Amino acid sequence: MKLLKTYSALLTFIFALVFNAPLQAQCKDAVKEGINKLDPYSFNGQTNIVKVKEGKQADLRLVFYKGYNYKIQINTEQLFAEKVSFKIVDDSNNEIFNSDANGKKLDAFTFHSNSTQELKIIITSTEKGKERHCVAVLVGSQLPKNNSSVRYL
Amino acid sequence: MNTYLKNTSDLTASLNIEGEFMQSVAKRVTNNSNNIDSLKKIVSEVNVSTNLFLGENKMNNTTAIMAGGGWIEAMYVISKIADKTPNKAIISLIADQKFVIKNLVGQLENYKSDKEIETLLVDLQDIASIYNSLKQVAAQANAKSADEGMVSIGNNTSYELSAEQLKSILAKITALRNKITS
Repeated sequence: MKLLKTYSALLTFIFALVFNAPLQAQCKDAVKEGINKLDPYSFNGQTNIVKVKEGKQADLRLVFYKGYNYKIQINTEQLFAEKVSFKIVDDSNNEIFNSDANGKKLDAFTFHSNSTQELKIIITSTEKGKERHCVAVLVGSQLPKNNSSVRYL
Repeated sequence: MNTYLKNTSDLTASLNIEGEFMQSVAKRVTNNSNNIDSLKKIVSEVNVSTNLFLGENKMNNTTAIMAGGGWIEAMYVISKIADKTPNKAIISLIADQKFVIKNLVGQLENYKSDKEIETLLVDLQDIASIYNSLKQVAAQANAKSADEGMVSIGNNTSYELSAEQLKSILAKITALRNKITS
Protein backbone atom coordinates (compact mmCIF):
# COMPACT_ATOMS: atom_id res chain seq x y z
CA MET A 1 0.00 0.00 0.00
CA LYS A 2 2.94 2.34 0.72
CA LEU A 3 4.19 1.69 -2.81
CA LEU A 4 0.72 2.42 -4.14
CA LYS A 5 0.63 5.71 -2.24
CA THR A 6 4.09 6.61 -3.58
CA TYR A 7 2.94 5.73 -7.08
CA SER A 8 -0.19 7.85 -6.71
CA ALA A 9 1.89 10.79 -5.47
CA LEU A 10 4.19 10.42 -8.43
CA LEU A 11 1.29 10.42 -10.86
CA THR A 12 1.17 14.16 -10.47
CA PHE A 13 4.85 14.41 -11.26
CA ILE A 14 4.47 13.82 -15.00
CA PHE A 15 4.56 17.43 -16.06
CA ALA A 16 7.16 19.90 -14.83
CA LEU A 17 7.73 23.47 -15.88
CA VAL A 18 9.91 26.42 -15.07
CA PHE A 19 8.18 29.66 -14.30
CA ASN A 20 9.67 32.64 -12.50
CA ALA A 21 7.41 35.37 -11.21
CA PRO A 22 6.96 37.09 -7.83
CA LEU A 23 3.59 35.43 -7.29
CA GLN A 24 5.14 32.05 -7.89
CA ALA A 25 7.85 32.70 -5.30
CA GLN A 26 5.17 33.87 -2.88
CA CYS A 27 3.13 30.72 -3.51
CA LYS A 28 6.11 28.43 -3.13
CA ASP A 29 7.02 29.99 0.21
CA ALA A 30 3.40 29.78 1.39
CA VAL A 31 3.27 26.07 0.49
CA LYS A 32 6.63 25.23 2.04
CA GLU A 33 5.79 27.00 5.30
CA GLY A 34 2.27 25.52 5.33
CA ILE A 35 3.59 21.97 4.98
CA ASN A 36 5.87 22.52 7.98
CA LYS A 37 2.92 23.82 10.02
CA LEU A 38 1.04 20.54 9.41
CA ASP A 39 3.35 18.73 11.80
CA PRO A 40 2.67 16.18 13.39
CA TYR A 41 0.10 15.40 10.69
CA SER A 42 1.40 13.75 7.55
CA PHE A 43 1.13 15.94 4.43
CA ASN A 44 -1.13 14.28 1.85
CA GLY A 45 1.01 15.46 -1.06
CA GLN A 46 -1.72 17.54 -2.64
CA THR A 47 -0.95 21.21 -3.14
CA ASN A 48 -3.94 23.50 -3.34
CA ILE A 49 -3.30 27.09 -4.24
CA VAL A 50 -6.02 29.69 -4.20
CA LYS A 51 -5.34 33.12 -5.61
CA VAL A 52 -7.45 35.57 -3.68
CA LYS A 53 -8.12 39.09 -4.91
CA GLU A 54 -8.21 41.71 -2.18
CA GLY A 55 -11.76 42.19 -0.93
CA LYS A 56 -12.95 39.05 -2.72
CA GLN A 57 -13.76 35.44 -1.89
CA ALA A 58 -12.51 32.18 -3.38
CA ASP A 59 -13.30 28.58 -2.60
CA LEU A 60 -12.25 25.03 -3.25
CA ARG A 61 -13.73 21.62 -2.59
CA LEU A 62 -11.73 18.80 -1.06
CA VAL A 63 -12.55 15.16 -0.31
CA PHE A 64 -11.82 13.71 3.13
CA TYR A 65 -11.82 9.99 3.78
CA LYS A 66 -13.62 8.16 6.54
CA GLY A 67 -11.69 7.14 9.63
CA TYR A 68 -8.88 9.70 9.55
CA ASN A 69 -7.98 12.71 11.64
CA TYR A 70 -7.27 15.72 9.45
CA LYS A 71 -5.61 19.08 9.75
CA ILE A 72 -6.51 21.78 7.23
CA GLN A 73 -3.81 24.43 7.25
CA ILE A 74 -4.15 27.79 5.54
CA ASN A 75 -0.97 29.71 4.88
CA THR A 76 -0.18 32.93 3.10
CA GLU A 77 2.41 35.72 3.16
CA GLN A 78 2.83 37.23 6.64
CA LEU A 79 1.51 40.72 5.83
CA PHE A 80 -1.64 39.35 4.22
CA ALA A 81 -2.31 36.65 6.83
CA GLU A 82 -4.19 38.96 9.19
CA LYS A 83 -6.49 39.97 6.34
CA VAL A 84 -7.56 36.46 5.43
CA SER A 85 -10.38 34.44 6.97
CA PHE A 86 -11.61 31.01 6.10
CA LYS A 87 -14.63 28.91 6.81
CA ILE A 88 -15.52 25.32 6.08
CA VAL A 89 -19.00 24.19 5.05
CA ASP A 90 -20.38 20.72 4.37
CA ASP A 91 -22.44 19.43 1.45
CA SER A 92 -25.62 20.96 2.90
CA ASN A 93 -23.89 24.30 3.39
CA ASN A 94 -23.78 23.94 7.17
CA GLU A 95 -20.91 25.90 8.63
CA ILE A 96 -18.46 23.56 10.31
CA PHE A 97 -15.67 25.98 11.08
CA ASN A 98 -15.05 29.70 10.99
CA SER A 99 -11.53 30.97 11.57
CA ASP A 100 -12.86 34.18 13.15
CA ALA A 101 -15.55 32.63 15.36
CA ASN A 102 -13.73 32.92 18.68
CA GLY A 103 -12.39 36.41 18.25
CA LYS A 104 -8.93 35.06 17.61
CA LYS A 105 -7.95 34.41 14.00
CA LEU A 106 -7.03 30.77 13.48
CA ASP A 107 -5.09 29.41 10.51
CA ALA A 108 -5.85 25.71 10.95
CA PHE A 109 -8.68 23.32 11.77
CA THR A 110 -8.35 19.75 13.00
CA PHE A 111 -11.15 17.18 12.94
CA HIS A 112 -12.04 13.52 12.65
CA SER A 113 -13.89 12.49 9.48
CA ASN A 114 -16.52 9.87 10.37
CA SER A 115 -17.58 9.43 6.74
CA THR A 116 -16.01 10.09 3.37
CA GLN A 117 -17.20 13.53 2.41
CA GLU A 118 -16.57 16.62 0.36
CA LEU A 119 -16.08 19.86 2.22
CA LYS A 120 -15.92 23.37 0.81
CA ILE A 121 -13.23 25.73 2.05
CA ILE A 122 -14.14 29.37 1.54
CA ILE A 123 -11.36 31.93 1.79
CA THR A 124 -12.21 35.60 2.19
CA SER A 125 -9.93 38.63 2.00
CA THR A 126 -10.87 41.62 4.12
CA GLU A 127 -8.13 43.77 2.59
CA LYS A 128 -9.28 46.50 0.23
CA GLY A 129 -7.30 46.78 -2.95
CA LYS A 130 -6.70 45.24 -6.32
CA GLU A 131 -3.79 42.90 -5.71
CA ARG A 132 -3.94 39.13 -5.81
CA HIS A 133 -2.44 37.04 -3.05
CA CYS A 134 -1.48 33.44 -2.92
CA VAL A 135 -3.13 31.33 -0.24
CA ALA A 136 -2.00 27.73 0.22
CA VAL A 137 -4.50 25.20 1.55
CA LEU A 138 -2.65 22.14 2.83
CA VAL A 139 -4.09 18.95 4.23
CA GLY A 140 -2.41 16.59 6.67
CA SER A 141 -3.82 13.35 8.02
CA GLN A 142 -3.16 10.75 10.67
CA LEU A 143 -4.89 7.69 12.05
CA PRO A 144 -6.64 8.31 15.34
CA LYS A 145 -4.59 7.09 18.31
CA ASN A 146 -7.55 4.99 19.33
CA ASN A 147 -7.98 3.49 15.89
CA SER A 148 -9.79 0.23 16.61
CA SER A 149 -12.67 1.05 14.29
CA VAL A 150 -10.93 2.83 11.44
CA ARG A 151 -9.99 1.65 8.00
CA TYR A 152 -6.35 0.70 7.60
CA LEU A 153 -4.72 1.66 4.33
CA MET B 1 11.93 4.09 -11.07
CA ASN B 2 14.47 4.69 -13.88
CA THR B 3 11.97 3.66 -16.56
CA TYR B 4 9.36 5.87 -14.94
CA LEU B 5 11.69 8.87 -14.95
CA LYS B 6 12.80 8.23 -18.51
CA ASN B 7 9.17 8.10 -19.67
CA THR B 8 8.47 11.27 -17.71
CA SER B 9 11.40 13.03 -19.37
CA ASP B 10 10.25 11.86 -22.83
CA LEU B 11 6.73 13.09 -22.17
CA THR B 12 7.82 16.48 -20.90
CA ALA B 13 10.30 16.91 -23.76
CA SER B 14 7.54 16.21 -26.27
CA LEU B 15 5.56 19.00 -24.62
CA ASN B 16 8.51 21.41 -25.00
CA ILE B 17 8.91 21.61 -21.27
CA GLU B 18 12.15 22.97 -19.87
CA GLY B 19 14.68 20.14 -19.79
CA GLU B 20 17.09 21.55 -17.22
CA PHE B 21 14.46 21.85 -14.51
CA MET B 22 13.16 18.37 -15.32
CA GLN B 23 16.66 16.92 -15.02
CA SER B 24 17.13 18.53 -11.64
CA VAL B 25 13.78 17.20 -10.41
CA ALA B 26 14.57 13.71 -11.77
CA LYS B 27 17.87 13.75 -9.88
CA ARG B 28 16.18 14.74 -6.64
CA VAL B 29 13.53 12.03 -7.08
CA THR B 30 16.21 9.39 -7.70
CA ASN B 31 18.16 10.48 -4.62
CA ASN B 32 15.05 10.40 -2.44
CA SER B 33 13.27 7.40 -3.93
CA ASN B 34 13.06 5.66 -0.56
CA ASN B 35 11.85 8.65 1.39
CA ILE B 36 8.11 9.15 0.97
CA ASP B 37 8.10 12.50 2.82
CA SER B 38 10.83 13.95 0.60
CA LEU B 39 9.07 12.63 -2.51
CA LYS B 40 5.85 14.33 -1.43
CA LYS B 41 7.71 17.62 -0.96
CA ILE B 42 9.36 17.37 -4.39
CA VAL B 43 6.04 16.50 -6.05
CA SER B 44 4.42 19.39 -4.22
CA GLU B 45 7.03 21.87 -5.51
CA VAL B 46 6.55 20.60 -9.07
CA ASN B 47 2.80 20.85 -8.63
CA VAL B 48 3.01 24.48 -7.52
CA SER B 49 5.19 25.44 -10.50
CA THR B 50 2.98 23.54 -12.92
CA ASN B 51 -0.33 24.86 -11.63
CA LEU B 52 0.89 28.43 -11.54
CA PHE B 53 2.39 28.24 -15.00
CA LEU B 54 -0.75 26.73 -16.50
CA GLY B 55 -3.00 29.19 -14.68
CA GLU B 56 -0.98 32.25 -15.67
CA ASN B 57 -0.94 31.06 -19.27
CA LYS B 58 -4.68 30.46 -19.34
CA MET B 59 -4.18 26.71 -19.71
CA ASN B 60 -6.55 25.63 -16.93
CA ASN B 61 -8.04 23.07 -19.32
CA THR B 62 -4.64 21.32 -19.31
CA THR B 63 -4.68 21.30 -15.50
CA ALA B 64 -8.12 19.66 -15.63
CA ILE B 65 -6.91 17.04 -18.13
CA MET B 66 -3.92 16.28 -15.89
CA ALA B 67 -6.23 15.81 -12.90
CA GLY B 68 -8.40 13.47 -14.98
CA GLY B 69 -5.41 11.51 -16.27
CA GLY B 70 -3.96 11.10 -12.78
CA TRP B 71 -7.27 9.86 -11.42
CA ILE B 72 -7.81 7.39 -14.27
CA GLU B 73 -4.33 5.90 -13.85
CA ALA B 74 -4.65 5.61 -10.07
CA MET B 75 -8.12 4.05 -10.44
CA TYR B 76 -6.77 1.58 -12.97
CA VAL B 77 -4.03 0.44 -10.59
CA ILE B 78 -6.30 0.26 -7.53
CA SER B 79 -9.17 -1.50 -9.36
CA LYS B 80 -6.75 -4.11 -10.74
CA ILE B 81 -5.48 -4.80 -7.21
CA ALA B 82 -9.04 -5.01 -5.87
CA ASP B 83 -9.98 -7.43 -8.65
CA LYS B 84 -7.06 -9.75 -7.93
CA THR B 85 -7.02 -9.58 -4.15
CA PRO B 86 -10.41 -8.43 -2.87
CA ASN B 87 -9.70 -6.42 0.23
CA LYS B 88 -12.39 -4.59 2.16
CA ALA B 89 -10.28 -1.45 2.65
CA ILE B 90 -9.37 -1.17 -1.04
CA ILE B 91 -12.96 -1.79 -2.16
CA SER B 92 -14.10 0.85 0.30
CA LEU B 93 -11.51 3.26 -1.16
CA ILE B 94 -12.88 2.60 -4.67
CA ALA B 95 -16.45 3.20 -3.43
CA ASP B 96 -15.29 6.50 -1.89
CA GLN B 97 -14.21 7.69 -5.34
CA LYS B 98 -17.90 8.54 -5.76
CA PHE B 99 -17.02 11.91 -4.23
CA VAL B 100 -13.87 12.37 -6.27
CA ILE B 101 -15.44 11.60 -9.65
CA LYS B 102 -18.26 14.03 -8.91
CA ASN B 103 -15.69 16.71 -8.16
CA LEU B 104 -13.61 15.80 -11.23
CA VAL B 105 -16.58 15.83 -13.61
CA GLY B 106 -17.62 19.20 -12.20
CA GLN B 107 -14.14 20.59 -12.80
CA LEU B 108 -13.95 19.21 -16.36
CA GLU B 109 -17.40 20.56 -17.23
CA ASN B 110 -15.96 24.08 -16.93
CA TYR B 111 -13.85 23.34 -20.00
CA LYS B 112 -16.17 21.21 -22.11
CA SER B 113 -15.73 23.52 -25.10
CA ASP B 114 -12.35 21.77 -25.41
CA LYS B 115 -12.95 18.77 -27.72
CA GLU B 116 -10.56 16.53 -25.81
CA ILE B 117 -12.32 17.26 -22.54
CA GLU B 118 -15.74 16.86 -24.09
CA THR B 119 -14.80 13.30 -25.16
CA LEU B 120 -13.25 12.50 -21.79
CA LEU B 121 -16.36 13.77 -20.03
CA VAL B 122 -18.60 11.32 -21.89
CA ASP B 123 -16.54 8.39 -20.61
CA LEU B 124 -16.24 9.75 -17.07
CA GLN B 125 -19.97 10.46 -16.87
CA ASP B 126 -20.54 6.85 -17.88
CA ILE B 127 -18.39 5.73 -14.92
CA ALA B 128 -20.09 8.30 -12.67
CA SER B 129 -23.46 6.72 -13.51
CA ILE B 130 -22.28 3.47 -11.87
CA TYR B 131 -21.29 5.47 -8.81
CA ASN B 132 -24.72 7.08 -8.75
CA SER B 133 -26.24 3.63 -8.26
CA LEU B 134 -24.18 2.86 -5.14
CA LYS B 135 -26.22 2.18 -2.04
CA GLN B 136 -25.70 4.43 0.96
CA VAL B 137 -25.58 2.60 4.25
CA ALA B 138 -25.41 3.80 7.81
CA ALA B 139 -22.05 3.00 9.33
CA GLN B 140 -21.94 1.58 12.80
CA ALA B 141 -21.64 4.49 15.16
CA ASN B 142 -18.48 4.09 17.15
CA ALA B 143 -17.55 6.87 19.49
CA LYS B 144 -14.12 5.35 19.95
CA SER B 145 -13.11 6.06 16.36
CA ALA B 146 -12.41 9.70 17.13
CA ASP B 147 -9.75 10.73 19.61
CA GLU B 148 -10.89 12.47 22.75
CA GLY B 149 -11.44 16.18 22.26
CA MET B 150 -11.39 15.88 18.47
CA VAL B 151 -14.41 17.22 16.59
CA SER B 152 -16.04 14.47 14.54
CA ILE B 153 -17.44 15.61 11.19
CA GLY B 154 -19.70 13.68 8.81
CA ASN B 155 -22.96 11.80 8.70
CA ASN B 156 -21.63 8.36 9.68
CA THR B 157 -22.57 6.77 6.37
CA SER B 158 -20.66 4.93 3.68
CA TYR B 159 -21.34 3.53 0.20
CA GLU B 160 -21.52 -0.15 -0.70
CA LEU B 161 -19.82 -1.33 -3.86
CA SER B 162 -20.98 -4.75 -5.12
CA ALA B 163 -18.70 -7.21 -6.92
CA GLU B 164 -20.65 -6.54 -10.11
CA GLN B 165 -20.26 -2.78 -9.78
CA LEU B 166 -16.53 -3.22 -9.15
CA LYS B 167 -16.17 -5.36 -12.29
CA SER B 168 -18.10 -2.82 -14.29
CA ILE B 169 -15.93 0.08 -13.02
CA LEU B 170 -12.73 -1.87 -13.74
CA ALA B 171 -13.90 -2.69 -17.29
CA LYS B 172 -14.78 0.93 -18.04
CA ILE B 173 -11.59 2.33 -16.48
CA THR B 174 -9.47 -0.18 -18.41
CA ALA B 175 -11.24 0.67 -21.67
CA LEU B 176 -10.81 4.40 -21.04
CA ARG B 177 -7.14 4.02 -20.15
CA ASN B 178 -6.53 1.94 -23.28
CA LYS B 179 -8.31 4.55 -25.38
CA ILE B 180 -6.06 7.30 -23.99
CA THR B 181 -2.77 5.42 -24.16
CA SER B 182 -3.21 3.61 -27.49
